[in-house]
Amino acid sequence: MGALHLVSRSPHESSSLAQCLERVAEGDAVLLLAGAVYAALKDSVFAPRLQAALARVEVCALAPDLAARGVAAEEVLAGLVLVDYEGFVALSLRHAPALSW
Amino acid sequence: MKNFLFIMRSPPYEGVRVRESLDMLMTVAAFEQQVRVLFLDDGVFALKSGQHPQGVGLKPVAPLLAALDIYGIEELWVEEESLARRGLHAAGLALPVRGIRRAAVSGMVAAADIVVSG
Repeated sequence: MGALHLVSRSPHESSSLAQCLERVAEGDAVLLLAGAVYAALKDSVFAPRLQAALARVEVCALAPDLAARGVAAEEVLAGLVLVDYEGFVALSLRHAPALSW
Repeated sequence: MKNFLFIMRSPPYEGVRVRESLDMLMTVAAFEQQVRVLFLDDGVFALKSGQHPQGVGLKPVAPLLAALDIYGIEELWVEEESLARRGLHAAGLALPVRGIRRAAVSGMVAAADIVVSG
């Protein structure tokens, strides 16, 4: 059972997502929340780094937070998993421990 | 009359910075000062169209941005490099804004009497 990494800051104003991705292990999952969902934009400069991470870990983004910020599903990098609050709960049941970055 | 430049650098929905800056610049405009607004860095996310923050219990910024016109604030600028880095496109913005290149930002700052950054 891998860890669940919770990231909530925009990757452009904080290096927390980059720092998290350097410490994830195979089988872990990363969930983008709040301002961190901006990392999911497929045309962002951050997309290649997220793309590389997808080879090792599951990367999810919280759909209500994407909707709040006007990020449509078709703007999201392919391979990312969009989850609702129930999906968030399911992720936290499948992974342990959970840690915030 | 003074020339004010408001630099919006914070993303929306992280605290109240964006709303407070917008309140402040509308107050300044109501006193018939000249107001320019420049969206930089994560501040450009406030301009993105299609935001529905009510779903997560937050207030939308779009109505405030739409009110800028009523206050006679017509000079809205966005740094083109900030948009490009973040994967945003001019066509996907909620308001008509003018683009400015990063190299020209220092000139815009120098032209202001007072700069308010938030």
